[in-house]
Amino acid sequence: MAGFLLAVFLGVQLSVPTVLVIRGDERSQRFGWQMFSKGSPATEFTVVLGSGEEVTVTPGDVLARPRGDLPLIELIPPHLCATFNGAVRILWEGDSREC
Amino acid sequence: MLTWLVNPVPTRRLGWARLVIGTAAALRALVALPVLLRLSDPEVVKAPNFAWMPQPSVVIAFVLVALWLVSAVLFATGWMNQVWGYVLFACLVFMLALDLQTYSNHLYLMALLVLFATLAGSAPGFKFGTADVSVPRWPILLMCLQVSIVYFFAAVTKINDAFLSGATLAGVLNGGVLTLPDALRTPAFMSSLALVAIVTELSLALGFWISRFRMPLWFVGAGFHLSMVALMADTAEIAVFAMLMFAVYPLYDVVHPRPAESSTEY
Repeated sequence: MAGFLLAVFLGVQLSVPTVLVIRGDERSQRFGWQMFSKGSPATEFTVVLGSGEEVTVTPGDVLARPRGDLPLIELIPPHLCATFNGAVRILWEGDSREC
Repeated sequence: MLTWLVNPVPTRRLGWARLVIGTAAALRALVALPVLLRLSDPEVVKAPNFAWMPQPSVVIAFVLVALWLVSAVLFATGWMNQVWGYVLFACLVFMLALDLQTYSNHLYLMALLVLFATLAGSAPGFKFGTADVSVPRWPILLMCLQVSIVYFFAAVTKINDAFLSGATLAGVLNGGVLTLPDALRTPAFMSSLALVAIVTELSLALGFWISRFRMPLWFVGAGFHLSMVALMADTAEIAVFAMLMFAVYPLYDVVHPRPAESSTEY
């Protein structure tokens, strides 16, 4: 029992962070003990309304807690399209999404 | 090897660790409440880890934090440790699983340490008026290995151009109780500091296993974590992280006693 648990523990705790290090993702990853090793992206999003008006939104405005390991581009533009009244397009860092 | 793993060791230091980890968990519950409440706001992004997890709500936030707080305090006292340890572990796992935004490395570490301390049967250690008893060595070994693994990968993942240039560190060392003077925020100084951070974490990861380095490394670790608490934002969460690491430092002597201690009670 003790030997088995020790082997499982070492297998998981050494292999998962090692794989994540080798993958070398741009943003930090969960379960890899990548503590403060990569900065948080300072992405800003611009919501373009039907009237042509533009509103700037930062991750801190719409996240419960901004973290460096969050996939901001996957999470924030769809959310802004769904919740921003009259949004027709979301812009960020030279990219965009139609609502 | 297997005999060594199950050999009984005294639990007094494990009891201290339980007390510190339980206290850290109680403090962390208070840090979690505002995040959970904000997550229940319909205007805030939801990023559930699993579709079957309940939608965050005010009720869930208060129930979870209340249970978390009570179980953490009772875990710290050692009363019915085998019940409250697992209840606390379940609360922490729920928090980790609820949403991408409720994950944190510190919380993940806390969950594992609570699990190992509960598996170890940490209840008998350090209770006033009660006799110390012995427990198997292996769960305490897991706690020490866990802390070393955290330090090791924290160091290894910092070996990248952005961190070594000092740029990442300059961004991280902001918003703390103390402010790093602007005069020190030069590329050369921040880059040197980045190197010191990596070397310190590697030393803490490996050095605790060498008994003669252990005592000096207590001071190195204390200085390292206290400077993080002072200079970084999210002070409470960084302090909780420091408490978790400090809780385990004395356990290396239980797993691998220093020569002077091998025949004494600890």
